[in-house]
Amino acid sequence: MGGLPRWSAGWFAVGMMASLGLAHAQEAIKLGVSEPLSGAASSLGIPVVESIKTAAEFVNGHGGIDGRQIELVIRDDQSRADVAVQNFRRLAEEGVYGIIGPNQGSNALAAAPVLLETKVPMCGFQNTISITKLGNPYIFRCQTSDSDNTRAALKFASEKLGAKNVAVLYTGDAYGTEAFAALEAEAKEMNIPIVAAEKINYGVSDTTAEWTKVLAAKPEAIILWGSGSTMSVALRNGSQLGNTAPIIGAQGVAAAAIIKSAGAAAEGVYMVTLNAPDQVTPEQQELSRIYKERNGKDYTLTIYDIIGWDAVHIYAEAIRQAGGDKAKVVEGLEKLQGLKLAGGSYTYAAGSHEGLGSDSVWIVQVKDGAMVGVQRGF
Amino acid sequence: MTSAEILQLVITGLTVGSIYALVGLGFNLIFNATDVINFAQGEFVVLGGILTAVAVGTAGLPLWLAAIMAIALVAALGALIDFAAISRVRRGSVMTLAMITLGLAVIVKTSLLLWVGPDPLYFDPFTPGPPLRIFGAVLQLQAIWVIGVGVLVMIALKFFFSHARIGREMLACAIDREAAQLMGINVGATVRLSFILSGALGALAGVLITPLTNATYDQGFTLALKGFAACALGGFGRASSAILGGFALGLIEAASVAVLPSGLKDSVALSILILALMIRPSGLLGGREERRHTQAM
Repeated sequence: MGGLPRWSAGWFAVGMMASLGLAHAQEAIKLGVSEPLSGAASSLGIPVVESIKTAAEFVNGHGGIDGRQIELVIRDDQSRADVAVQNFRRLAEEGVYGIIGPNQGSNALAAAPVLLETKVPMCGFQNTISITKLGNPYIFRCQTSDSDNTRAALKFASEKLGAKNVAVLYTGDAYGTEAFAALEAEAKEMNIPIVAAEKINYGVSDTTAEWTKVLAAKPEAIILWGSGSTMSVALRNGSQLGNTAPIIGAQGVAAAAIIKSAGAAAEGVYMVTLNAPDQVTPEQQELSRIYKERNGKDYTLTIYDIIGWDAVHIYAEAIRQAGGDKAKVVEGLEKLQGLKLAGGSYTYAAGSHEGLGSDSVWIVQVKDGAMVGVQRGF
Repeated sequence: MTSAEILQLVITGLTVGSIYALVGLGFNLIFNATDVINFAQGEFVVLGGILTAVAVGTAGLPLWLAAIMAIALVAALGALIDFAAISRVRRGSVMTLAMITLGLAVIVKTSLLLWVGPDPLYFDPFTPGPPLRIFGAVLQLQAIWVIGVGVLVMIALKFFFSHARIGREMLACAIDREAAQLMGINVGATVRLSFILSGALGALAGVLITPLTNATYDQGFTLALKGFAACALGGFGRASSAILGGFALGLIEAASVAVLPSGLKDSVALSILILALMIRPSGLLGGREERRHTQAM
């Protein structure tokens, strides 16, 4: 005696084989994530990864991608370019269908060559213009481009604020200098003179010298393009020097921490960004509901909540278009036409990997310390 | 450029210069006792600013109490650094000690990132109200605090090193450790005191400048670089030279913005530093090498 009856063991084996076979047919789709979870850019990476997880749960809960579940493979790039390169390589070896991230422009530029070797696409969150101009067919922008953002800033200054000229304060990194080059070209085309332009070194503790030069030119609007702690110093210095011209800040200025530490100096400042926290579009409702359940009913969506959510949905739709074939994900992405998601309407085609267009650009204004939507689409 | 704009650049130069000078003063304290450049001096400053901002912002303490607590804590950290690391390798070369302070700077910076994150912290200026207007130029009230306290500290340090017994003992330690010991000076205690004072002074600088510059975990290096440059320009070893060097550096930066593209500010300032040191290797006021025999502190 003892042991199972023979027939029972047989059925068990059949059952095992069947479930294995089923598991094979329903093999999960791996999506790689390489984002900064530690280091200087972690305050951007952590909420983005949170929203990527939320989106993957949502898609999986709604039948997955044609019945197949998404499996996230998340790696921390420690805000470092060398680690981002390693992550990209390892994620490709693990068989991911696509990579979401990185967050920092310099890390994206460093990791780009790996994509050419591994032929795995990347969905990057950079505004930096050059990222889609490298001739690398695997880089897709899942954000607005600064060529649209700078045009929006200029159009808003001239059409809505009635400014006949502008001055520009920008940071000396790629983010600032590329945007300034775009602003110069755009302003020339739109016939708006740039009466002063000053470069701010990254991390400086005072910008009054730069402001003094800019204000001497008596600009009717001031465009401020940069990111980080220096931006709140710049906003304070401008207001201390008695500037009354309206300021339009970049997406890097439209961050809660910068607005908070600039205090009263941030009041009334316009910013070019991807969402107006006070307005929930129909495409944002599902995400907003989930985040309100999690964080309380007063929670308003941030840009990080939106871009992570959208990236997962972009891949889900592209993989659907590709018929679940890993080799055809790039083609699938290039088939996406006007895919409406939380950040706006995404369109890709062969040779055009910009994703969002100028119709998705928001101008918001700081009122009582919060960003309030003013205009969308340019 | 109008005269108001030129005046504005001068005021900007003095404001920024006073920040550099305050950081530079802290360098001098430890240098005077040990001949070591403390690379963690910038972190002392950042730590002072961040501790105060957290105490004011999160714990809701009044600013004066938060500032005193921050200064005391960083002073204690200075003592701890000497107790746990520096005093253990006193027979090591100046280079070894400097490397230890560099490692400590990294530890403090990384811990701050883990603790408060990368966002800038801030608290309101000591004196509320609009900035002063002087002939069309603007002077921030907080800058008056920075400049004023900087000058007071300089006077106090000058007195400390020339008249106070303990200050003179501190100098003696740096000039010749063994001789100082033979003369009955407690070298270990004197060096520890220099770390405590330097921590307190760094934190004081952080408290003063945060309303102007914000406090961010990674600011220490830039601050230390400029403070070091201020000391080198003025001449290492005495308080007045850090102040003079700081103001000179701030004014050079502001002047370079007036005539050149502003992105070149740092390059111009540091190039002038190199030039100045090639002409006068021991700084504008002369370094300690020249003064050792004259006792002209």
